[in-house]
Amino acid sequence: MQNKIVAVKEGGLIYATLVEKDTPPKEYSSGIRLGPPDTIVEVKLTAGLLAKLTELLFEFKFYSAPDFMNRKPELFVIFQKLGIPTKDHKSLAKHIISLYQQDYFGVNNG
Amino acid sequence: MANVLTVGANRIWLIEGKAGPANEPQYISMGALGALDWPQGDVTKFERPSDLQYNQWIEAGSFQGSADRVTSTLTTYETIGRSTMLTLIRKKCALDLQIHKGICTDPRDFDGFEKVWIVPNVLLSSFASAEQGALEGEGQAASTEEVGVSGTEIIEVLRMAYTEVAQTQVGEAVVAVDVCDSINCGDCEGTTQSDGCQRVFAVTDGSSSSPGVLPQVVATGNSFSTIVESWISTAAIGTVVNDAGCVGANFVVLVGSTPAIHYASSQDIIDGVASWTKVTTGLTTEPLSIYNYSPLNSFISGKSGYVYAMSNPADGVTTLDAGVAAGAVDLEAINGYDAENVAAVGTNIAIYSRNGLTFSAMTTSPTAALKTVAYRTINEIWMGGTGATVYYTSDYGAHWATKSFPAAVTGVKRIVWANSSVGFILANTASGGRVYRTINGGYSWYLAPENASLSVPTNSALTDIVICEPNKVFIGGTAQGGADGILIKGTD
Repeated sequence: MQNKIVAVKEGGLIYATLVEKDTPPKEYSSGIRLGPPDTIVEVKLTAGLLAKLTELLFEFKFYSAPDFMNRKPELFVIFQKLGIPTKDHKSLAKHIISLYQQDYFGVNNG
Repeated sequence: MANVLTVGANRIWLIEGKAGPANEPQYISMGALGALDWPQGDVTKFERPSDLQYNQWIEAGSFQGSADRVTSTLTTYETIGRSTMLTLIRKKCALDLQIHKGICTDPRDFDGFEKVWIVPNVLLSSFASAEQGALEGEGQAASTEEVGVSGTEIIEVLRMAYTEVAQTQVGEAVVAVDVCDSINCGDCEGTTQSDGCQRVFAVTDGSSSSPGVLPQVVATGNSFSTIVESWISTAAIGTVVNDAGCVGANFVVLVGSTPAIHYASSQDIIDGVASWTKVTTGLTTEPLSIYNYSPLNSFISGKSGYVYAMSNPADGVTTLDAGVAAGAVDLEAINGYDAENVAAVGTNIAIYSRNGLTFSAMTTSPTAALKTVAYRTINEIWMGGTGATVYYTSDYGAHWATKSFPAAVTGVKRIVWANSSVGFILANTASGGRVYRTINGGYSWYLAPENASLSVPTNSALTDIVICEPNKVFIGGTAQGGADGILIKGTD
């Protein structure tokens, strides 16, 4: 059975969700949530910017942790679109990647 | 347009006893070196009959003989005092010659060079004088001495500049850097031409923030024209990385927290398809430092004085010394000259091996928290750590000598040698890390870069350095502020 990744809005945030290809939209929320992790709310952004961040993460196909490897330049483009100062890009990227890695690999990985 | 040098731009320095920390370079003010001749081996072709014409042959292949020594003639004016050249001829000891080339600098300033050709390990092959008298006035001439010189090779030393690379990809402190490359002509299937400095690997620590990230490798296959990241997915988030290095076809990372070795194919890392493997076989204590001599010959030092051997990362390690030689003191650094001569250091302890199997404590050890050890020659071992002093011994600790750095230096983090003449030291201060360089075997060290209008990129500390050739290094450390990492390329 082929799958597709769809955007599910919950609590104002967009979550990438894996569903079967022929799943109707009203059932998207029952799919497998790929990301972002619930801990994304720890990112120090306003509610509006956080919502926009999740939209852009979905748009740029940053679904789960492995999607972030080798793609920092694109992440920085997202931050530029959000109007985040360049000097804060690396620390914000590190925080977001940390949250996704914890969710994907587990804190006790290794 | 490049500045074309004239022969007048050359000055000769002679280091009696060869380059070394106790051997002062001597400026030969009244001398000149003749042309250098360095045969690279005759090229011989072999033929086969032509497929297209009878009585014709075509080249089937060729081979080149071995390189010969560098030869030249050193001519000096004779003075009324002792003849330096005659004295050296009679000693029959090897020496180094350095040809310092410049346009705008003071010829008498050894470290003020613009370019240097080092001819190491010179033996004087002949001595000839000028005519020893003139019957008539028109035969009057300056009296000269001429010695034949024969050296091993020509090493070119250039001024270097240091620039930050991979700024986007590096997000955490760089703990270790290595070059998994060698000179390649690109003739064989699957190989590409390389100057030996293309494939560079740096590993960042996962623990510099809370809760941290996975440690990762930032690598390049083309000297940072393109850059890849590879998360060490078999490690724990926030794990401490102690060291890393190239071992054969793999890149090996030593981690603390949960002591282990993680490795992946270096080619797969560059291709973005790395599959990491975690190994703990044989590890009793946390691995701290790795020295690799060959694909099947690596040494790892660890906590509690352990020394391990590793021939294949997949098989883990075997214990060579269970902390006996080091008295159970953590061995922070290990390094070697070859597969037999290996040394490791820790706080107030230095141990060594001369057979690659058994280790002994040096006769005495410097009283310092030692963090780095390096062989300049098979007989001379350098080490450094906290403080502004580096130590060296040529008799396994029976005697020690030191070199001091400015008081601002709070610690020496790394000593590395490109050859017996050229070396680098990473030293840290309260305001950041510095690079010191020597081109005379450690007799004098100067603050890099050579051009005072340039500087090493701002940082809060420098941690590791790898030399891939005397004028090309890669350095890792912590960026200013302490939360980010920095990777620096130093090149001519």
